[in-house]
Amino acid sequence: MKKIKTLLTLLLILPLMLWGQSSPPSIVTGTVKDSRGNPMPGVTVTVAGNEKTGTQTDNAGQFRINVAASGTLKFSFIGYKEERIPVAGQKELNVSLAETATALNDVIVVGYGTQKKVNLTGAVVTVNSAELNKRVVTNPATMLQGKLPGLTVVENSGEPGNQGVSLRVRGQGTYSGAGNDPLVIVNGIPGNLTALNPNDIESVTVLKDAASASIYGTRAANGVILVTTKQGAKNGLHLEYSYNMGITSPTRMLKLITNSVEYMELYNKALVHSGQAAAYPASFIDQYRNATDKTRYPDVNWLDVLFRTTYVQNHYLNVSGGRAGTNYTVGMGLTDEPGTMLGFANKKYTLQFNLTSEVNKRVTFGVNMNFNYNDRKYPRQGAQDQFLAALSQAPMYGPVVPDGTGHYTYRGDPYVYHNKNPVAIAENVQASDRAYYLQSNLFLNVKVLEGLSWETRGGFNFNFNKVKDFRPVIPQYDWFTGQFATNLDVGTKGLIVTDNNNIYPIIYTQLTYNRKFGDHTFKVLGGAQEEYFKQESLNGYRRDFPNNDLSELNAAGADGQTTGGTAYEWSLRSYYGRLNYDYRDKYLFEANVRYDGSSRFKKDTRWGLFPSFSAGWRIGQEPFLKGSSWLTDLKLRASWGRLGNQNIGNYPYQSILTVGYNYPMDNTVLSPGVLRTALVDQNIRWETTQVFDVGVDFAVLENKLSITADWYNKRTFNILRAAQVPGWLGLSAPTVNRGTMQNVGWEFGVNYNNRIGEFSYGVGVNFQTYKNELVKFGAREITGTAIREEGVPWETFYVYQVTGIFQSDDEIKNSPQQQYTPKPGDLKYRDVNNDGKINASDRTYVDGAFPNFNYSFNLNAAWRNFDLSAFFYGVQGQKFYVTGWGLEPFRQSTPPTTEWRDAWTPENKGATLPHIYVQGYGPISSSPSDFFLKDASFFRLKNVQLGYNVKAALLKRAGITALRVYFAGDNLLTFTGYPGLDPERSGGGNFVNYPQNKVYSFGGRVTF
Amino acid sequence: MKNIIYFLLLSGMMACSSNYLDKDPLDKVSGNNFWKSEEDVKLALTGCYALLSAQSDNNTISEGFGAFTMYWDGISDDAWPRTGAFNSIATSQLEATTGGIVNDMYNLNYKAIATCNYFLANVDKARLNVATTAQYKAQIYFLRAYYYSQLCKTYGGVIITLKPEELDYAKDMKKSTKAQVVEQVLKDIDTALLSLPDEVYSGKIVKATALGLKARVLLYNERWTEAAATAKQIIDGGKFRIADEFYGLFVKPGQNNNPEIIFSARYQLPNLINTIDYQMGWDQWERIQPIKGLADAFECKDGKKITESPLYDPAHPYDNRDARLRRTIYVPGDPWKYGADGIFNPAKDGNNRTGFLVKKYLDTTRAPTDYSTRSDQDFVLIRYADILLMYAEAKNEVSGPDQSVYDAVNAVRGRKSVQQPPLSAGLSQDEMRLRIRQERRVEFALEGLRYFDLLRWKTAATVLPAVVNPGGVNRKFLPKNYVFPFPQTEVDSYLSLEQNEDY
Repeated sequence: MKKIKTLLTLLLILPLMLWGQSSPPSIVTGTVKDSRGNPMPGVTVTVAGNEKTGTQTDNAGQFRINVAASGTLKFSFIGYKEERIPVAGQKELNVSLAETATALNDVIVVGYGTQKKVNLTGAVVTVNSAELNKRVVTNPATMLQGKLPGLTVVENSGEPGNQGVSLRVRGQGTYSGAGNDPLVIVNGIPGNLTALNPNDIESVTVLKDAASASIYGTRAANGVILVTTKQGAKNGLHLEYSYNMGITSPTRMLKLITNSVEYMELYNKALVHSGQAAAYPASFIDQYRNATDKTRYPDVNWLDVLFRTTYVQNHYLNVSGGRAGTNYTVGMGLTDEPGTMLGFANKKYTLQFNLTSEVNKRVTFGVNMNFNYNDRKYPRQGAQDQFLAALSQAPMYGPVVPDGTGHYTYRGDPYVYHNKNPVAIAENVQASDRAYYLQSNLFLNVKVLEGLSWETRGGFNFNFNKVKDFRPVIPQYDWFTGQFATNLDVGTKGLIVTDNNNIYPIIYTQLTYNRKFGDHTFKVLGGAQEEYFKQESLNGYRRDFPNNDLSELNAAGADGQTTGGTAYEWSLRSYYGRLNYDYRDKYLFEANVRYDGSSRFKKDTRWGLFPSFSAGWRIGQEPFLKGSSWLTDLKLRASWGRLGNQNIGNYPYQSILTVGYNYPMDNTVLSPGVLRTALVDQNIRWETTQVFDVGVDFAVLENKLSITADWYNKRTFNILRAAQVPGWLGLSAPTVNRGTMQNVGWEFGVNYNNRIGEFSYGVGVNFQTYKNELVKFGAREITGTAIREEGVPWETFYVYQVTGIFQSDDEIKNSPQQQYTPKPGDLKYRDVNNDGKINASDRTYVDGAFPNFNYSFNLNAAWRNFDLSAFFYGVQGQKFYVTGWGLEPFRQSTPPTTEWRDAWTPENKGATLPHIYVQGYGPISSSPSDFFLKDASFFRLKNVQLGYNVKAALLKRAGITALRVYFAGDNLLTFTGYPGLDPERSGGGNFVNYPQNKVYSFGGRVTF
Repeated sequence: MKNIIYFLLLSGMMACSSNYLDKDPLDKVSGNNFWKSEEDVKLALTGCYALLSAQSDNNTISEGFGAFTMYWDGISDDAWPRTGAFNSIATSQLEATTGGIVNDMYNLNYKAIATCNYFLANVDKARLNVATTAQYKAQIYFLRAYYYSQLCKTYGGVIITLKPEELDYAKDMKKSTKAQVVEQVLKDIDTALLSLPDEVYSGKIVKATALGLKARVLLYNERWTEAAATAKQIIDGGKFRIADEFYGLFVKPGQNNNPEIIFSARYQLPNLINTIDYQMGWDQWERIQPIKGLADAFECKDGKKITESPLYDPAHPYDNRDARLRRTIYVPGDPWKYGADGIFNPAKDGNNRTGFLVKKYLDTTRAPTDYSTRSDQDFVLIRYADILLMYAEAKNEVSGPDQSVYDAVNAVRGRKSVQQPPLSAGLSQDEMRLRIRQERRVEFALEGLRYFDLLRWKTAATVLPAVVNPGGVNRKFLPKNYVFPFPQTEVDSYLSLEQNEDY
């Protein structure tokens, strides 16, 4: 229905867009497009050798020009490579312009302004819409992966609407509660990247070093990501519609042993090896062995039951236009994303509206608004719980009983424990999260005097979301008898409704002064900003509903109902300034300062000053290099600066008593009680990050090859963290300033673009690496599998080392005394300190907490109307400590993976896996060892896209200016040694993790 | 120029609201203006009590505390704990890195002590009249004594702190000896006794509560004469007696105004609840599972052991037994609200590993349970039967089995709903000691006392290694295990705390 409506809209608008086209014989006409097939308005078209004869392309990228049949046309546009095309008697010329690798005149967005790219002195990378939209994604944050050196993007999960994307600029900067998330600025004020539709994004810029980020002061310690959305066209009316459908399935999936007889026999074997009694009697196993009725005695693969192939659809409609100094764009998007895991779905609706209007020569105002409605459905305990519940099932029964009633199975296996029925959960216990989000701002620019402009921008972000978590009563039945067994485990039955809202108003006002005195150019900026955030939540619960169809609170009785609600707020006030100076565009200097006050600190420690300085030398402009034929540009940069971090809880310095410690002091009512539970340090102050960065930008061979490289030292000190206080104080630790962490690293990006006749191609490589070190911490802490200790990377793995598998009793006898009593087939641990016994002091450091490096390759090629791009992404040296379901056999009775068929037995002594066991078995499960440390290095074809731009001539009659169809694939190939599941995840822990999706996507875009 | 003025005006406006950056918590009480009224005092007093029921970091109940005191029986010879740190202790061994209860027992009791210290240091600021203040203080002195006694029975000597600690806390505190901690506990109890009301117990601490704790501390430290005298004070006070109903001691409404209960961790529907019914009773959980040794410890109806009694029938082992057996545990074949057949059949219960289930403390009217089942059984911490058996045990040590010893034990055995025959006359002191220990085991099974009884009798090292876990492996109990280790994290970070021996 929705599609039909969209089509109708298009048809209605079509007639408006039709205009005639005639070509007198003396005239050459044609269309100019970019490499993606988008028409390019405003391209200068001149006759070579007679530059005075010229015109510009119109909004449809079309031109007409008088030229001799033997002449040559020159096409030029800022940021694109100039093209010279001989007319050679043709009447129509279709031209495609390629972008230059480093467009020298590119202006890029920086904090509170813009800057010519060549004049940048800080470490800044940017990526534009064309590059970003090669991937077909539902969450814009994932598009950034591998595109920007220095930015690490990890997509933790394939769960729709909840991908858990983490963005890290130059590694983990701190271990404080302040967090590692970068600040995201959308159209000038803090916002949310995920809420946007990818098609609405114009460019994304990352400010990596302190020099470029310090103008954002207190919120910039983890880097800043600047996002701008597309602005309207200058003239006319343009309509664009795009659609794609992705056939989506999990990237990698475990292969389990799903033969019922094999499962039970292996389980018995594992139990016996683990010192427990066998669970399955031979008579029960024989029922399956001899069964002819495979409905009643099946071999079920529960992963096939839980996972499916789904169809993800994206619609996007954009109307953009302008007239007389006013232009606008409206983008509407709809993403419909059913999960590959049963029970998950997400629908995202976006509306982006941007308007700019020149009131008069001096005054411009505008508005940017983004509205997002997101409707997410998910089983209440999330993807990991569903996944492990499915893994925990045995193959001897299915999700519904075999008697044809459609009743859910409670358990078809009375002998061991299994988790709850995940299908019954997915089909009945879906929670919904409906979120309404608005980010908006209004701006006013005034040219006060020549060179002096005043900009004020204010807006607010508003978020409201309602989570409804209804847990009905679902009866379950015995697999064999069909009798009622017990109700489904849904947690606390009933309905919990939670409303959250937050409002975040923000305003800044600033003056910019630009002046050139001879060879000296100055630019001065000064401004002030205020922001305030308040979050409120309210929840209610009722228990006993008359049936499962009524799911509003009032439908249930008040008995046992509960309510809760809370709120918090913070505010920040800032003053900032910047000075840019350059001498003949050759010697560049920039200074920034920000002075921030936060409500999170006490009055006298509230304010923090964050300065930065940077300088650049464009050697390429020096006379001794300027004439060089091969060198296009060469720039050296260096910067130093400080940034602050304040995201540490809202009231960390205040002495407060916790309410809610109630007790029935008499026999009738609860009396309220309070406790002092925490120590506070009233004198805490800003956590500070200091970054020193040197870099070089290099372009040769007429910009065909460009290189950007940076080395940095990012050091965070006065880290805000929980103090290490002894337990006998009886009070939880205060937040204090203590500790230092350092990341030293380098990164580079190389791009090469060339064109041979009609064939153009480009190669890009991004690479980044860093070394994390905990410089100052305090007493070392060991957290089960990792150690926090000065001089080594944060949370370096600290585990026992496995040297092999015990082959015989003799070997056990002659080996260091193990912690538990091993048998042949069990793991043998290394006696690190050679004292003849294995104990806690034999744990040792193992690397892999941070990747050795991340890298990516971009390849693209275009020939006539075809274009192809491929994007590879890889991580090397990252390890995860993972345990449990899917990795260890029989965790909650989870069937082992097929690799366990080749596990150690007295007859198979060369095996790499130990004797099959039941998770929890001391000699294997109980010591955290590198047996569970899995190398998650991977290299994957993240994306490939093949597109075709339909010839303009074929489209004209329909009034279509451009039509593109394409195929795109995501995560099609993965090379990794990681066992079974997706190696791309954000951390260790439970091995089960919703894998990312493999997507085969088909789509098209039409422009009128 | 005009525009510059606007700019300055706008920036000026932003700078003027001088309290823009002052933000206070919206749902918490500020510590700076507390202790102004009797209401404040009551809030703080209630907070100190609340930790009896909800000792944890997040206001829920940790294993081994409050309604989950029963977990302690999981590491005694009475039961097997299916999950958590108690399970690690039972299946592996007790170490400083075990986590769970090893950390909680330390941290949570100190948390409670800190809140008591905060109360005692500040209550005078409220300027209430002297008698009122004394009554409030007495309750807190008692609670502080109780929390220290918990530490003492677990760790032996510990660090003693009696004032609210701040950031400038001492960096070189040493642990006191066990005797010093005991003296501190007794001193607080004696201070409390000066002002506690001599009333029956209905939730607030009364004189008998303090005397009961005092008797227990003295008994645990083998100060027999004083222990017997203290217990006698309660017996002679006449305000408490053995309740007729055994089952009613452990569920409501039987617990309300029960004449036997002297001290308990309390709960109240609908908002202060525990989850004991589903955690112990639901076939999805069955956290604590009694073991056969406990079932076999119950006598036959004739007062004889199952190895001696003619009433014992191996084919029907649970007939003709002490009435407390079927009120304490589910045995195979008992009617049961879970499972297809309506009876408890451990062979077809994937979670059951021992063949038995907890029944004591379960409100069977709530079965079948699920996560929405709310329970409000109080967990009894001291009851009159314990006073009698403590008296008997102490008096027997002082003067041998005199008539008052027989009377005390027989009063417990003769409970109206139990009616076990009186002890036969003419027992020696040693025989009486064994009979009392036997009586304690069956009377207080699953009440969190057995493990500490084994420790103080020094029998743990022989009893526990004989216990066979499901799967066939014997438990471990080393000599060092007579006290708990301090949590490894505490010893690592607070260097002046000396770890207990051999850990």
